[in-house]
Amino acid sequence: MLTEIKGGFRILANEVIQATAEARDLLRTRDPKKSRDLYHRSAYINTQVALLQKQSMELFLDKGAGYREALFIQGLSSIASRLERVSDILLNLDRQAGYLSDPVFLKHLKVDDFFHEILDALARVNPALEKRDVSLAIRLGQVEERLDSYYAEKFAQIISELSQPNPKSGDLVTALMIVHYLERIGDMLLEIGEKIIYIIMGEKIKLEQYKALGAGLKATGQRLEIGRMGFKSIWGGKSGCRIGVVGSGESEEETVLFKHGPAFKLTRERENLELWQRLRPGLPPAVKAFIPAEIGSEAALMLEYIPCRNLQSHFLENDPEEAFRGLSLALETMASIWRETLKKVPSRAEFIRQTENRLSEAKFLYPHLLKYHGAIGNLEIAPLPALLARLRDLESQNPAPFSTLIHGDLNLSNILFDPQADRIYALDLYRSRENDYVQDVSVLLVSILRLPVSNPKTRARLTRAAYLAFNFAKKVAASLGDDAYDARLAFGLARSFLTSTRFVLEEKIAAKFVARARYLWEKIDAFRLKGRAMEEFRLPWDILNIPL
Amino acid sequence: MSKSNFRHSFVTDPEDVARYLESLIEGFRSGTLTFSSQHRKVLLEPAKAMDMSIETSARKGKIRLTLNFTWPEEEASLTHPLPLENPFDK
Repeated sequence: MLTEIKGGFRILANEVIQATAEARDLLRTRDPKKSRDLYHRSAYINTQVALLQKQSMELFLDKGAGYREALFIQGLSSIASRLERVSDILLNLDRQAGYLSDPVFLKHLKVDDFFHEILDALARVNPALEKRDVSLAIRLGQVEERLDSYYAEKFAQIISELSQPNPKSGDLVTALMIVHYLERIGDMLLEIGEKIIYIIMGEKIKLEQYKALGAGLKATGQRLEIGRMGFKSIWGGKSGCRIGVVGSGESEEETVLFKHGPAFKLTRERENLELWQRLRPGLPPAVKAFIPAEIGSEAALMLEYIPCRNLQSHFLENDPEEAFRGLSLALETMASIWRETLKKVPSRAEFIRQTENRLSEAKFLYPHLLKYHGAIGNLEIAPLPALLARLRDLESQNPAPFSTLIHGDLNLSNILFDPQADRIYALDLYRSRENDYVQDVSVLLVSILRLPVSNPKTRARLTRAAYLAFNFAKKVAASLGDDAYDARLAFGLARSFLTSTRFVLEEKIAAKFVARARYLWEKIDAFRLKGRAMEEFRLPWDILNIPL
Repeated sequence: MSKSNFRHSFVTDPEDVARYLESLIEGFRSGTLTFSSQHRKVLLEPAKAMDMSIETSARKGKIRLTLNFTWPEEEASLTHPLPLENPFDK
């Protein structure tokens, strides 16, 4: 069956090449016979694609398929859909050309330029797949950029001709439609190139990402070569970056972490990584290479790969002693960094503003939880926005008495721990800055408490971990003479509980997060109403000990 | 009486619990308990007699105290009146 599918695909790709050449000829001279030929060929292409997809499904259902085979068939089926789309666009081109008053009108616009590139790219589809050649796939996909620039050029020419005296407006508008269709074929070809890379690498990688990966590997100056590298994605990140482990599989030294994403984020992360490296050598992963944005706003960062598990996995996977050792090390390291970088300049984490900025996103998931307000007897349940507005000034009037360098996203999964070497590593330093260390404390505590764990033993372990962190940070605050620490921690915890609802799929749990946030804000508000100083506010551990 | 339901789950502490209970006690005393949300207002008028249960339980590391009050809806008591004859008279 697989041989049949491959054979069918080869024919399909060749048919699309033929159809493209026919469409090109049709735009040169209108020929009703060729138009009919194109129509029939397009119908045949549609049937071929349907057959290929049917055969692929049968292979899955009747014979079963291994991972690599399944990946190949899935990729091939996606490419077939794109080829079908190209054929549909070619038919549209022919229909559009029928509106031209002058059959050779397009000649002066040199639309053949597009066809030359499209045919060149289509001719690479079969060889790229058969030879499993990523560079051919890249060249195929790069056609999209050239078609885009042709489009821009023709667009400008058409607009200019429209502004001339007595323009052939109808033909020019039709021509604009035609070049627009040709540009869209470029989008299909880019996707085909990416699908071929997917089949070869076993991972979905955008062409831009693959190019950045190649440039990055070159820049590391090591023996790393893209041709013999494997790529394994790390999913589940919330940063908007594509993260993957790249390596030959032969040695860990040859393995690097690849991050591709918004240039402003990665530029900042790189600066922070270098700053932390100077402060605590070896604490963050070393920067191996940075590839700035070539076009657009995406950059890439190659980092040292650290083959260790994060603290979240240590806590969840039943090695409590190691997990607690790792957490203690992390807390001690962070406290020493806070102390060392302390500047006697007041700082504001602005937890209320952080909450308000993320409220609309949280509201999208659980609108009724966040819009809720009402009363029980004569006791008011205030709307959250009103509650936040009441507290904004109070928070602003009570800054941290000093600033320190903070991690900025100190959750359990951003701390790696190596029990053998007894050392930790800090990841994801994009948000690191000089600010209120309570940001780190509150993010860490909520990252422990929010884990969805039903096993009572694991739950008890996590509660103990939160208790350890809670007490440790309290002592640090006391030693730094930070009198209003408890009040700011309440603001920070409320912020983290509320914004964590964005990642919770179970409404019952989300409701509990909102309830905790609301309680903390209401307590501070009650304190405010009594006119008491924030230094007197105490945050009891019990609030964090309520089971979820 | 409205048939709408009211539900509000929240985190609280003994001091706040006492305030909420006092508010409920006030409602029982005056004959009307009020609960409101942004969508509706629920007025409950407790009957002259009702079932009350108090239950405590401990499960999966959680202690639970449940107070339950039940009384018939007005319409229900009208459409299904209690038998007037005393069955023990027969």
